[in-house]
Amino acid sequence: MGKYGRLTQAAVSKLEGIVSPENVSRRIEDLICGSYEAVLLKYRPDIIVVPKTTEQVSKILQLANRYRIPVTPRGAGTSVAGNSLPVLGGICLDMCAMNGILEFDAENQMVVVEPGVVCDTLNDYLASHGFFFSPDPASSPGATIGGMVANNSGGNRALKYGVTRDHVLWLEAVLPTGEIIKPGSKTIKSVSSYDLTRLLIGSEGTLAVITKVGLRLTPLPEAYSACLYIFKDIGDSTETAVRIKSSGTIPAMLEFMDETTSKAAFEYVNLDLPKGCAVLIGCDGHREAVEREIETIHNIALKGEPIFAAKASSTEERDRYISARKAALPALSKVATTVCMEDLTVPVTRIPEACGRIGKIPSKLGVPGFTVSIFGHIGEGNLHPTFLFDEREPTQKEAFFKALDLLYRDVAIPLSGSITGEHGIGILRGDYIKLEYGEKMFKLMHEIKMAFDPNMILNPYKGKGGPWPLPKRKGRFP
Amino acid sequence: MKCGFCRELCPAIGFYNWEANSPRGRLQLLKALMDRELRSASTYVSDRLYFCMTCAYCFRRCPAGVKTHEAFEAGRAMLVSQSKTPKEHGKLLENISRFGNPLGEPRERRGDWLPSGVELSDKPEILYWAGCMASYRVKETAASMMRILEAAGLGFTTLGDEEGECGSVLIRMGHWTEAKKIAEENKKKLEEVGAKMLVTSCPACFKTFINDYPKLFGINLKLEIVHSSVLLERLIDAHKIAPLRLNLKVVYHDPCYLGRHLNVYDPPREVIKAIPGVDLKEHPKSRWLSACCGAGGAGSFKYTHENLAIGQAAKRVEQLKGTGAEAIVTACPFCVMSLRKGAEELEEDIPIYDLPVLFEE
Repeated sequence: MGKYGRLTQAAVSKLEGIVSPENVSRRIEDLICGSYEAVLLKYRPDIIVVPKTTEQVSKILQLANRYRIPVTPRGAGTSVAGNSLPVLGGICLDMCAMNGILEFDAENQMVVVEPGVVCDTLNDYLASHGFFFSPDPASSPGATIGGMVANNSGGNRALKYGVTRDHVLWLEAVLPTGEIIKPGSKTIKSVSSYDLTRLLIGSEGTLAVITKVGLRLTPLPEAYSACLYIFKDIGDSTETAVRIKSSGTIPAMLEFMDETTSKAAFEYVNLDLPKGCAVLIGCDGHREAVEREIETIHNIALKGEPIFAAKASSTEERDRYISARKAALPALSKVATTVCMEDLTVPVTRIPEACGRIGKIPSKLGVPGFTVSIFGHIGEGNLHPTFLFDEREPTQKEAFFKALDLLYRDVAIPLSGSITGEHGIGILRGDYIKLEYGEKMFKLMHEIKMAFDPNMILNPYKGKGGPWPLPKRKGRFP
Repeated sequence: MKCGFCRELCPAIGFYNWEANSPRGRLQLLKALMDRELRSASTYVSDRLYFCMTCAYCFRRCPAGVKTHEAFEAGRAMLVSQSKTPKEHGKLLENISRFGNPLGEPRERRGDWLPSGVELSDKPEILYWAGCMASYRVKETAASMMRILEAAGLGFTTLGDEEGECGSVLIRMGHWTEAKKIAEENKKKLEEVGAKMLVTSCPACFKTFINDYPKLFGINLKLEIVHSSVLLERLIDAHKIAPLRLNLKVVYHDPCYLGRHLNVYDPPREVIKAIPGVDLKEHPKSRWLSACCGAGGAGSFKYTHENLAIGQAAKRVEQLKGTGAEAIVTACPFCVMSLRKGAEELEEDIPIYDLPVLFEE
């Protein structure tokens, strides 16, 4: 590698001068706590720095450029693709102290937040004012807005409400070279620049560090109802989803769980329901409209001859069904020691085929104890194959990385899908970008990265701009 | 899973927003010690483990059901075995050893809360355990319970000066060897009385007797162990007691050790609702979402981080006042003490009642 500098005492003293010494740590305990997220891999930073203002972030990045020290921004560390893991060590830029809700404008339906605000905390605040921020990733109790913007997070409500980028009006961000920019506009429409806002959204902390976000809000719906269906197989579930989408009704939620996942999830929330492929549908809006939508959906779903069909008759029942879906991953964590949730998308009509191919991966690998289950957002074709194994067994851990390869080569790409719908490239998927997009786009994305970050100090060897592959580090953790 | 869901509402993170101070961070530090990634527990690790208020929010929040609070208590026991504990523990241990309570109050004054004229039974069906906080600081809790039991026509007694530490503070702080000795003494003391039921108004004592004694020490008390809110609910349902009218808007604060630790949420509410004229408000952060009052683990947090404990209590009082309630009710003498300090800090004149006291009011 050779192009990076060392974290000298001079650099450390300057960092302390920027944020004050109590916001800098080289304690091994803090470095350990900056080395993980919700993923199997770990990479330890060399120093943790906690800024509280945009100006501090700017000075830190300027210094990092001068000394050629890699910088990895980190929110709450809820990513599942290694987005905030410092693969080259360097500075872990912990953004959690920048967690203010700065401005709320009910008339213009906007809120301005710092990146460390947690999604559910924001929604608790907005609910008291009759609004909500609609992206709803499963990690919302922990995920920060900055992380959601960096990842372009989706979630259960994406079919109706879109993803994070559809709700960001403007950003304040610090470039890797330290300049502060403010792409976007407080207005819903503006075409006076290249859409740098959307370029930064989903850039996984590789093009800029986000320091403020102007979000567009949605009024809280009057009513929200749900219905649950269990089908014999994924084919029936998919056909039902396609028919629902074609009916003119756009549900707020259109989710599915395969037999393994639904069994675990129903047990987790104490629901005694038959085995099969579960489809959960939610509708929100004006009360009369919701009632009509649920009725329409119910009639469509019944045509698929489900073995179980229910419209939630109370708020408690509705919440129970929704909590079963949200509990998919924790429920599976009670089935296996290690649970790794992956992410890919395929066209909705190809979901049955995708599930069939995913289901065959464990038998292809032939490693005892290594299995897979699937759940996801059937309305958008976004699947979350979840590998169940024991990472303490070397053969099973190795099988996981081989399974990823099969997931992209045998499933996502051949079925005209994408290697990631929500989780991002992170560390795990960089080698497959070329497979999905070809050489030209692969190089173009790297050139964009270099245009923003000529010294490649911001979250290097990660995300869309890479570069790839990640070089091996001798003697570095792990 | 390292999902990080436990971070946001952890009260410790509210004071010191570093990953190492979050439940996930503490667990990973313990894991690092077990995996030998850390060769030994430093002062920093000790500080992080003792910064936890043992409110168990993380346990209830954890989608994978990790028993974080038990892991942290076990971690503290490990630190005790390595003599890596906060300096404040010395005084607490001395107080418990010399006086039978962490407050350093004289043993012979422990039973002073007993109201005059109350007759204790020779063959009681109920043994009332006041606990250190109700014996010395929130005496009205214990006194009210005595009068309620008398009004219900039940045969009861209490140990008075013979009562000592239940062991809760020692267990929370990690001094399990000392706690076990006390548990063994208490078993003998409590069972000798011959009562069928052990009733306490202190959730910390309640959890210690019903949960920690069997789990940590294999000591099972031969009595039914009941929190006073549960007994009050039973007595109301059996028409043995009936409160008088009290026109008051109240909000109930769920104590951590009664709520999140032991899932007792409804009995206190039923008791409150049984009082004619009382309007019970609910704060959105109630039941399992209830914020810690700041006392933290039978007061163990407030002994080591008093200013932060008061700050936490003030935050909670502010939250609860937002419901429009005229008074705060809880079912824990530690919460009463802590919330009163919080109200004082805010210069708020809002009354804070323990449940038996409100009932008697």
